[in-house]
Amino acid sequence: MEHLAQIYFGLFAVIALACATGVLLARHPINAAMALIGLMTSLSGIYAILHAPFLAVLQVLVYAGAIIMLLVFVIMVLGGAKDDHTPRFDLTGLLLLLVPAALVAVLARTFRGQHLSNAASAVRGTVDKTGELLFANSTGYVVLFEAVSLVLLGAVVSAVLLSKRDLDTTKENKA
Amino acid sequence: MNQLHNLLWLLPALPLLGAIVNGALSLAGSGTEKGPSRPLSGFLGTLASGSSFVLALLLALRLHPGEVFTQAPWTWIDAGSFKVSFGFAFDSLTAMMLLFITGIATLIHLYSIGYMSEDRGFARFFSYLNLFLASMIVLVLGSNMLMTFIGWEGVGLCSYLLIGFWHHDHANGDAARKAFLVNRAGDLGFLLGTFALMSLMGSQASLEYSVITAWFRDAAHISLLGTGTGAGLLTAATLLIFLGCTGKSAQIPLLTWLPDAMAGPTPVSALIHAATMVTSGVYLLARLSSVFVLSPLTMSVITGIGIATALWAAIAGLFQNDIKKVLAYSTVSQLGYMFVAAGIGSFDGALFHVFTHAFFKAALFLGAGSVIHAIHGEQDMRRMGGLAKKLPLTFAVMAAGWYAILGLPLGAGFWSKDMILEKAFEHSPLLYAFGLLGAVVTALYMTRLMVLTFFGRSRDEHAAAHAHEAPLTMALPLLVLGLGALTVGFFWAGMIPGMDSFRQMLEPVLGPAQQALAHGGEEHHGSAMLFAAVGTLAALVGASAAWKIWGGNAKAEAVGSSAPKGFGAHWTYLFDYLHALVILPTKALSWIGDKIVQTVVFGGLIALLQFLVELLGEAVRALQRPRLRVNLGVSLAGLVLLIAYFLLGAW
Amino acid sequence: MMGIDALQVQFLALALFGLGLATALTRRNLFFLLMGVEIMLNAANLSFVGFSRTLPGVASNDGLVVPVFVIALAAAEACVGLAMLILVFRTRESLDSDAYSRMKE
Repeated sequence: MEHLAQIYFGLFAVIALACATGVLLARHPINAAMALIGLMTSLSGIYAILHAPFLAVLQVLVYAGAIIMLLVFVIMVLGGAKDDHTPRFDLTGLLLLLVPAALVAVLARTFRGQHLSNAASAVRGTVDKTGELLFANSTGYVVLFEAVSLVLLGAVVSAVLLSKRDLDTTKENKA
Repeated sequence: MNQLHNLLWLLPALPLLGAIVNGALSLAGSGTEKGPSRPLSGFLGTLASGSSFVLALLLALRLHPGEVFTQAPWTWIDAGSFKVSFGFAFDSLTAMMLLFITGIATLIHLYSIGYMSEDRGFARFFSYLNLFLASMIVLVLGSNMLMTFIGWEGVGLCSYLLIGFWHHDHANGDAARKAFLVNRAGDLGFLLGTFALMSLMGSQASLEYSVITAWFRDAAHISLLGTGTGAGLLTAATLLIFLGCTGKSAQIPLLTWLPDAMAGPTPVSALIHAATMVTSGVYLLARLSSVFVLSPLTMSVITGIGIATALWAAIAGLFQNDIKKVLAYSTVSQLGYMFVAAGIGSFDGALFHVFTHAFFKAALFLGAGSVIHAIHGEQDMRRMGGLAKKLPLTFAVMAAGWYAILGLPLGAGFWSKDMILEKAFEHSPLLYAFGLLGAVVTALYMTRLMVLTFFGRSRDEHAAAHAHEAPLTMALPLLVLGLGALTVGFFWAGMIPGMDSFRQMLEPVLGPAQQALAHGGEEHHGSAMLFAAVGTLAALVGASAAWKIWGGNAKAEAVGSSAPKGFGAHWTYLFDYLHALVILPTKALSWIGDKIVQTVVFGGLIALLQFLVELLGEAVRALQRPRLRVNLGVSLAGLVLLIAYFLLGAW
Repeated sequence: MMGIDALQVQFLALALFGLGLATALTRRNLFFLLMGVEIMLNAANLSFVGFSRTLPGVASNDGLVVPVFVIALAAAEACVGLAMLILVFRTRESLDSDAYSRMKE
C-alpha cells in the first residue's frame, strides 16, 4: 500500500519525460502541443501525489485547459506548418545542446549525495488551506494576489492591442 | 727538443688552411666565367702540401728510434676514468707513413696543376685535395682511435667529393655515393670493434694507442684472454675492426667501390685510390698489431681474405678494357698481398709493400693520366696503340712502374713482393703457391696493358694523331715517381745485409707484436736467391704469355662501352651481385615503410586530423552567424557558468 | 504514509527543465521556443511542490502558494507572447527564428 504512491509517481514521471521528449522531437507544432498537454496532465497527477490537490486541479484547468488551448488556436491561425522545410536540428542547434547539458550536469552533480526526507508535518495543500494562505493577513500573499490580477489585466490589454491590424482603423471606427 | 712536440698540430693544419683558402677562392670566383686565378690556386695548394712534407721530414730526421713526439692540444671527452684527447702522436711508424703520404701528395698536387688546367673547378679541386691530405694526416697522426676515426671519415668524405668531382654527369655521383656507402658499412665494423675492445679492457678502457698497446702486451691480460668469453670477444672485436679495414682498403667483401671510383679525375685515383687512403686499413692493422696477434682466428681470416682478394682481383684485371679499371683492380690485388703479409704476422713487410706500392702505383696512374690527357679523354685500351713513340717520357715512366709491379729484379716491387712471398712460404707452402699464381696473373694483365697501350699499330688514328707529351708540371712528378718505382725498394733490400733501414725504423713499434708470433727456428735464409729466381721466372712467364696473346694483333673491335661482357662481366660484378642481395631486406623494409606505414598510418593520421580540424571549424562557423538562438544560448551559457562556479566552486 | 522519494522529484524537475531548455534553444520554429518556456516553468513548479513536502510546518506554505502565481503569470506570458508572435509574423511571414536574427528590417 505504501508503495502505491511510488508506482504512480514512477508512471507519471515516465509519461512526463516522454511527453517532454516528444515536444523536443516533434515535427509539427500541433503534435508538440498535444505532447505538452500530456505533460501538464501527468504533472498534475504528480502534484496530487505530493499533497497539493488544489494545485493539481488548477494545473489542469489553467494550463492544460486554457494556455495550451490558446497555443493551439494561434498555431492553427498562423499555420504552424508554414516553415516545414526548416530542418529540425542543425549544427548550431546541436552545439547549443551543450548549454542545457552543462546546466543539468552541474545541478545533478550538486544533487548527488544529498538527503531529502519528507516531513511529516508538511502542510497539505487543500482548497481551504490554500485559500486561507492566500487571503490571510499574516502570511502576506494578499498583496501578491492583487498584483497578479493587475498583471493579468495588463496582459489582456496588451495582447489585444498587439494583435490589432492597424491602430488607425480603430480610431476611424470610433470616429 | 721540447719545442718540436708543439709543432705537431701544424701537420694537419697547413693543408687544412690550404683547403679553406682554396675553398674561399673557389666561392669568390664562382660568379665569374673563368673562375679564380689558376696559378694562385695551384701554387697555394701545392705549397700547403709541400710545407707539411717539409715539416714531416724535419720531424722525422729529429726522431730517434723508439721515441714518440706527442701533443694533445685539448681534451675532448672527460668522463671520469674515460678520457679522450684531441691528440697527436709522432712515432717512427707515423713518420714513415707521413713522409710518403705528404711527399706523393705534393707531387700529385704539382701534377694536377697541369692535368686540371682546363677545368673550371680548378680551385675547388685543390681545396678538396688539401682537405683530403689534412684528413689523411689526422688519420695517421692521431694518438687515439677516435682521432684515427675522424681522419677515416674525413678521407671517406673527400673521396666522395673527389670521385664525384665532375658532378654534372650523374654516373659520377652514383660512383661517389657507392664509395661512401660501402665505406660506411665498413665503418660500422670499425666502431663496433672499438666498443668491443673497450669492453674487453674494462675499467682501464682507453682509446689511446699507447694504453691499448700496453694493456694487450701485459702478460696477465694475455692469459686472461686466452680462453672463454674473453677470447671470443677479442676475436669478434678484431674481426669487426678488420671489416672496417676491408671497407677502406677494398678487400672482399667491401671492394665494389674501388673500380667505380675511377670515375674521378686521374690524380684522385693516383693519390687516394693507390697511394694513401686505401692503405689506411693496413696502417690500422699495424697500429693495433699487439691486439691482432692475440687472435689466431682473425689472423687466419685476414690472410685468407687477402689471398682470395689478390687472386680474384688479378683475374678481374684481365677482363677490363678501360686502362684505369685495370689499374684499379691491380690496386685491389696488391692490397690483398699486403693483408696476406699482415695476416701471417709480418706487419713491417706489409707496410713495406704499402710504401713501394705507393710509388709504382702512383707512377702508373699518373702515367695513365698522361696518356688519357694526350689522346683527349680516351680511356679504352682497345682504341689505343703505338703510343710509345709519341709519348716517350710517359712510356718510360710506365715501363718503370710495370717493371716494379712485376717484381723483376732490383725494382721496388722485387724487394717488397718477394719478401712477402718468402714469408708466405714459411707460413704455408700452399699460400706461397697461390701468391705465385697471383704474381703470374699480375704479370699477364700488366703486360697486356702496356702492349695494348704502347705497342703495335695505333687502333684509333684520329686520337693518336694529336697526341702530345705532358707539360712540365706533369712531367716532373712522373719522373720522380718513376725513379722512385725503381729505387725505393732499397730501403729494405732483404738479400743485402745491412740495407734494412726500413725494418729498423719500424722495429720499436711493430717488433714486440711480430716476435709474439715468431715460430722460432724456421728460417729459410739460404734460399733467398731461389725465391727471387722463382718469382722473376713467374713474372716473365706471365709477361711473355701476354705478349704472345695480345702483342702485334691490332684488334679493332672496340664496339660500345669499355665494360667487360659475358663471363668477364659476371666475374667482375660478382661482389656487386652479392651486395644487391644483401641490400634486398633494406629495400623490402623501405618499400613497406613507404607503402604501408607512410600511406596507411601517416595518411590515416593526417586524414583524421583533417577531419577534426574541419569539424572544429564548422562548429565555430556555426556559432558565428547572428542568430537568435545563438544569442540566447550564449547568454544562458554564461549564466550556467556562473551557476557552476558558485555551486561547484566549493570543491 | 511513506510517499515518494523527495530527491527523485527534484531529479525529475531537473530533467524536465533541461528538456525544456533544449527545446527552446534547439528548435528553429518559434512556437517551440514558447513551448520550451512553458515546460521550464512547469519544471520549476514541480520543484517548488517537491520541496514543500520536505519542509515542516509553516515553511511548507510557500511551496503550495507560489506555484499558483507561477501558473497565473505563465498564462499572462503565454498570452502576450503569442500576441507578439502574431504581430511579428505579419511583418516577416516566417516562423523560422533565424529570420528574426537581425534587428533591422
